Amino acid sequence: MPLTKVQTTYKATKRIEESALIEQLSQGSESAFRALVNDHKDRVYNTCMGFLRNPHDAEDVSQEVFIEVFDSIGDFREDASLSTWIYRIAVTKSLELIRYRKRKKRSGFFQALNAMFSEPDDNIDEAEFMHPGVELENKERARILFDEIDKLTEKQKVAFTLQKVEGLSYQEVADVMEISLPAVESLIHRAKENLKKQLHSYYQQNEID
Amino acid sequence: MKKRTNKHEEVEKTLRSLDELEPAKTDAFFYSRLTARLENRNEGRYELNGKTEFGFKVAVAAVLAMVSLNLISLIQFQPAQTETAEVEATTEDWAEEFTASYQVLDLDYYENLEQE
Repeated sequence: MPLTKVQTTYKATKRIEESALIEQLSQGSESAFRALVNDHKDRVYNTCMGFLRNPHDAEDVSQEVFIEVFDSIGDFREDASLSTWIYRIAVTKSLELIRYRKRKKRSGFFQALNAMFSEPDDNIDEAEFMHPGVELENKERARILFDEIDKLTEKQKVAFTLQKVEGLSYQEVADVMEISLPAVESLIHRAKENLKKQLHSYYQQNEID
Repeated sequence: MKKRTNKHEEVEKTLRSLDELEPAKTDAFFYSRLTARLENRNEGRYELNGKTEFGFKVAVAAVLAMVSLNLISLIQFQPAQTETAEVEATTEDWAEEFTASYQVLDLDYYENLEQE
């Protein structure tokens, strides 16, 4: 059997399985929900971690992602795969939290008030935290790279993070971001160029011997 | 020159630092925490619904109390107004009688006096 035929058959079988799972989820089946969570939890968590770089936030947002899936599975149109839809929710929710944090940072007075009254867990310094998957020898470099990724435009950041941290293919990134494949290629290319420039200026400011 | 090469190398190394990234994983209790959160949310929702219902009842009771108080004061205010009118009328009659007896308000008093 040629490889393309095998792939098509595999995709068709997966589609049927997915449709059945969606049907069960719509009917409120707990076992279907558990299966869905177990299948996707690590990928969702890793995606959130790539954007948020904070285990508490990543856990919190991952839970919100599955709550959203639980609530709106009835609205899910099967024009994208279930995992693409879940990734989309994970990205949206992570970006929402980042935007919220930025707004909070801008309002210095309220931030000071919040720091006084919030629990210490809310104030984990992103710079101090490192993605758990980073090798020890690369920790410092990865920290610098993550800081520079944060300075990219939102679209470049999403495309680069999904491709680099989550390891999605360009086509998968295009599906999640609902843009064309050339657009993703262009975004990632520009992200890499910008990162190079930013890193050059970073190392210029922090001279290396 | 050496510094520039170092910098270039460092940039490249930094860009490659996420190449061998191991995916972050949740622990085995993620599902339990998620279901607990879902249950709490549902309890919270019912609690909120209960609170909203109670709040609505209190609001309706407050409005009814206000309306009844207004009605009571209206009922009490109306007879008082009639009484005042009666009192005013009696006072006017008495004043007229009094002025008539002393002819205080007789505008033709001096004319009448001259004629006399």
